[in-house]
Amino acid sequence: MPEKPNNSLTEKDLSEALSAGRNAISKASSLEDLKIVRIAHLGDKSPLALANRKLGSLSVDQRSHFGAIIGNYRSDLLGLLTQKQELLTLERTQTIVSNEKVDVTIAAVSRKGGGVHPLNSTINTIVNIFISMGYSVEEGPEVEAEWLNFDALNIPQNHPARSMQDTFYIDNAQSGIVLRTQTSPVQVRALLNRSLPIYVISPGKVFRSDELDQTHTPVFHQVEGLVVDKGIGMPHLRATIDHFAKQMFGAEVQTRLRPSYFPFTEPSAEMDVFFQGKWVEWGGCGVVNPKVLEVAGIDSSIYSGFAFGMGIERTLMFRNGVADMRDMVEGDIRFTDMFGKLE
Amino acid sequence: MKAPLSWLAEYVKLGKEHTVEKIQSAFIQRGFEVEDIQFIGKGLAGPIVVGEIVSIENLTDYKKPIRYCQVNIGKGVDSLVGIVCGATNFVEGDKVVVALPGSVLPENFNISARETYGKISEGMICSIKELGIGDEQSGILVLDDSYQVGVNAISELQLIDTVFDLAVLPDRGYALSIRGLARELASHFSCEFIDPTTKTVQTSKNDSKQLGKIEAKDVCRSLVLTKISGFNPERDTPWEMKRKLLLTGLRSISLPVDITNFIMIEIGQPLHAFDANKVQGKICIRYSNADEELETIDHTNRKLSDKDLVVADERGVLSLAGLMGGISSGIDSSTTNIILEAAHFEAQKISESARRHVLSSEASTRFERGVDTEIAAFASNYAVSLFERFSTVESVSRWQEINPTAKKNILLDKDLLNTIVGFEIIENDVQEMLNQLGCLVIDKDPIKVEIPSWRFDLANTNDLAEELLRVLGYDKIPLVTPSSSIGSGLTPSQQSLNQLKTFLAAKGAAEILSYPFVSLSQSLRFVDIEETDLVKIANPLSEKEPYLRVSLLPGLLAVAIRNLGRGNESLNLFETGSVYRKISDEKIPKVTFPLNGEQLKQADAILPRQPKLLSGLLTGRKADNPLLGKNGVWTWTDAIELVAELLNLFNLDFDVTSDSSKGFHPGRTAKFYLGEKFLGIAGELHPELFDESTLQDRVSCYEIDLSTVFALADQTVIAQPISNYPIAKEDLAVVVQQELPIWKIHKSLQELSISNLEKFQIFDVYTGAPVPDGKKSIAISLQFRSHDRTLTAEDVSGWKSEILATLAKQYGAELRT
Repeated sequence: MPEKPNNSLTEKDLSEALSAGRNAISKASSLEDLKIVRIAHLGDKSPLALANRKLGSLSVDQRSHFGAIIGNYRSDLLGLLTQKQELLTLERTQTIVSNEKVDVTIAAVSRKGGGVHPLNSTINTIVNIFISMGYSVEEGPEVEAEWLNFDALNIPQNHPARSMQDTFYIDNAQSGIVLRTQTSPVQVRALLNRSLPIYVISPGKVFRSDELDQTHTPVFHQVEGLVVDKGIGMPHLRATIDHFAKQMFGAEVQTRLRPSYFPFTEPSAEMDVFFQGKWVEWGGCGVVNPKVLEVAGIDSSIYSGFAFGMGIERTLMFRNGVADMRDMVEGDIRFTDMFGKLE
Repeated sequence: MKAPLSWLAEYVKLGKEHTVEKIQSAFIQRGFEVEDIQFIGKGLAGPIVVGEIVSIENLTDYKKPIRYCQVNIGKGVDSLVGIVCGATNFVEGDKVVVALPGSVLPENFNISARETYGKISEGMICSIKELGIGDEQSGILVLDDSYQVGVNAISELQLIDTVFDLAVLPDRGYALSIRGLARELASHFSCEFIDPTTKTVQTSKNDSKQLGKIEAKDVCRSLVLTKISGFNPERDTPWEMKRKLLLTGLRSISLPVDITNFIMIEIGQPLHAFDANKVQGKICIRYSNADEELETIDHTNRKLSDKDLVVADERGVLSLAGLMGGISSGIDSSTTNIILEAAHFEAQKISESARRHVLSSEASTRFERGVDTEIAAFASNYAVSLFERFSTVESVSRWQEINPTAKKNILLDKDLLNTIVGFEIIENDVQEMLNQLGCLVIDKDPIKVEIPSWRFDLANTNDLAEELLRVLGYDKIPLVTPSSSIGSGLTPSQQSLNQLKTFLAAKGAAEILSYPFVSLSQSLRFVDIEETDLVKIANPLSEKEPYLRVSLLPGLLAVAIRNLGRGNESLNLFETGSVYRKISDEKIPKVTFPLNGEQLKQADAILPRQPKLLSGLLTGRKADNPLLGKNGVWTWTDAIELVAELLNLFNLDFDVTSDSSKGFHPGRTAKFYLGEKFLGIAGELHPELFDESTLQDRVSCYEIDLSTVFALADQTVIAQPISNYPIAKEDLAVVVQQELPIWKIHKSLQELSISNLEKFQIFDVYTGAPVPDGKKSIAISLQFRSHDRTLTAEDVSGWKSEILATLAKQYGAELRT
């Protein structure tokens, strides 16, 4: 006798498949288990899927009867499975989070030192101010021709600054070669090399024969500015210096000019800044002496100019409260560290 | 220059409204920095009177001389006061200053009657120091007989005054005198000014004798010699003169010396007094002979040069002109005949001698800055009048040679003046202001200005503009922003330097700045260079360090040692700066004006080569976070890696070789090149240098030639399209000779012409079985991608074979099986 074709469906079978599925879902303890459960009870080869396939061979009444049951059971299981899935996902995340908890603050303890030297970052600050005003940065050699350092700047042969007590000479006092005592030779180079008008700033190292102490150093830094254009006079100098000081020290600072003397400017002035309650001498300036322009081959009946200069060490000392020159030159990393990397 | 207000006020008619504060700001506005203001006699309160010593009783029971004096203070013989005094420089009948009980001397010194040395002392006999006039401590102040007993000494002796200590700029020699400063104040306040050189001075006995001659006419414009005979050396300097000299900081020495100093301070003309008995024959202003010598009054024996200007007699040199007198011709306490020299010497000449002899005096300070060319004769007469007034003189002989100086004129360019000051000044005001300064406007159209004989600083319109601005005040200058030009910003090299420093700073490196002065061995041990190529300073600060650096490393090493000594143990240092190499032994010749670019080129051809370098030094523990397990020590790998990173910042297709160099560890050093061009070096400091250094951990360092790097880096990148086709990854392992540098493989892979090889990485190097001895296995990951299609397995295996074939050909590489 042929075996009863296995295309008959019974409510009992279906109900067992449902309870087997429910049971499996409830027992599943991990997302991996649940994946197996899904395949076994809702997959293509699950009892309910196989039962569903048999529907086609049933009568219309039977088909709609069992079809409804299978549909309900499947959505019942699917609902449970989704719930369980959410529960297990939540549990797993919670486990990960709690297992992997660390003291995150240890990573913030890192503190690399280092930074650009404050003298150079101060120079950068100054350079940026003048670049924004349309100036260029002019550079020149530190070992320089004596005539560029002195003669071209209307400094007479017997001027005390030329003595070996003040100026380092290379080889011997007659070599015509010195370690520049000011950045002014760079300005002479600009006068000889550049086409007019000239708007330049020249920061750099300069050298004078002083022993290192609290307020002196044989190697220090200056920045000088030079403008040569038509119709330039003291008013342009005053406005430029005033703007510069306000950028450097804050909008509230005042500036003042006092008569002074430099061989390369006439009229000459000392510039003072009223900073933190007192007048501080900041640097020298003036209208470029027409002799200097003529010496450089520039027609002083058409062009005039102004020049100014100041010490960077001095600026750093009163702007940032550095009390001892030696802190700036000895290379102790604690000094640079104080200023940070972007100062 | 110290200027007592009372002295100034003799020549500028100041009013009550001209307070000390106003005078102070007047000086500042005029360009004279006020370094100090001394309030002489501050707190002084009477009764302080002139007294006369009536009797002196010497108290002998004490270790030091003590006198008990009866002093008449002007209330009759019956009211003498008894005062105990420790000084001995006075006799009965002398007039002295007596501070009576109730009086107050400077610095709150209260005087009261008190018992001392067994006597009641009813006051104090005062010294100059106690009166607050000066530091002189030669006993008490003895006055001349002209003072009346009992008068108020505070007013009679002018014990209250204000002294301005002024910094005088080097171009303003005229202001080293009361005359010059009084003129400035008169001009500032528009007060009456009395020029002391226009005073009428009374001199009586006078005849003319040929007393001297000027040989060096080029540097001595005028000479006035006055012989004063029969002078009474006993006479002391009167208080009024002594007081003035003390307040200006000079000592009172003797009447003749004080007179010369007094005139110098008042009108600015230095004078010199010789003892006429010590002078033989005529006085001559001449250049010294090279073999002459002179012992100056500071007891220094000086060898003279044929460039020194001297005052001489028939026997030899008497003094260094305008600088300092000789000891053998100087006046002393017995001098009765005096030759007074008033001369005008050229500023530059005196300045040269002053520098040659490293000598400076009140006289040379004035001559160097320029003395009025027209007051020598007046100064001489003035001196004679003072000798006659304060002493007795038997006869006076005068001789002078005065070569007149042409008046200097300036044509004032009004347009230029307006440009410089920034506003228009009315012509009448210009004239008035210049007149007040001693200038004469002698023509109107154009304005022609005659310059006074004491202003050597005035030569053109700019100079006059400064004078006018000084009068008007620099604060009147308007502020006008220049129109400026279109700027082009920093050059690529300047930008690169900033970026590079920011990069290093972000990596934790600290920039340092060291001096460029080094010793010979510091140079020769770090760089392969001949001593003759070093740049040497003629006058170094330290004889041990006369050379300029050729490497930044010696400086970094010294800074590292200093840091370690101060407990800074983790060091990542860098410096950028110039080094210096001699390229010529020639001198740079003097130039002729006007200058030109050719002269600049000539100079640059002789000046040392001064390339800019970047160097760094690493030693000690890395300053990372040990809590995160990052606590290694800096090694050669860090130095080399850093240089590679730095060069990559600039997209440089560099090459690297294992190499050695002076100062570096021969087995742990790499050199970087681009083509033939040397870019830099990195590695470990030579163990020998390390041993000498006292540092604890090995030192790694690097040095890059920034000049070369920046020159090569200035390139614009042309962008390639980004492909979105899938990548094909493949690994390759090859076996090569063990000594083959990894870089060679790296470089060969870089230079392959397989355009689809997007990326590669050497990720493992292995030695040991089964790789044969003397060989190593190198594992490389390869990543291919096409710009226009998806790659096939055949593509990839083809390229892989090509790569293997290239490596096999170049290095005998075999596929690791």
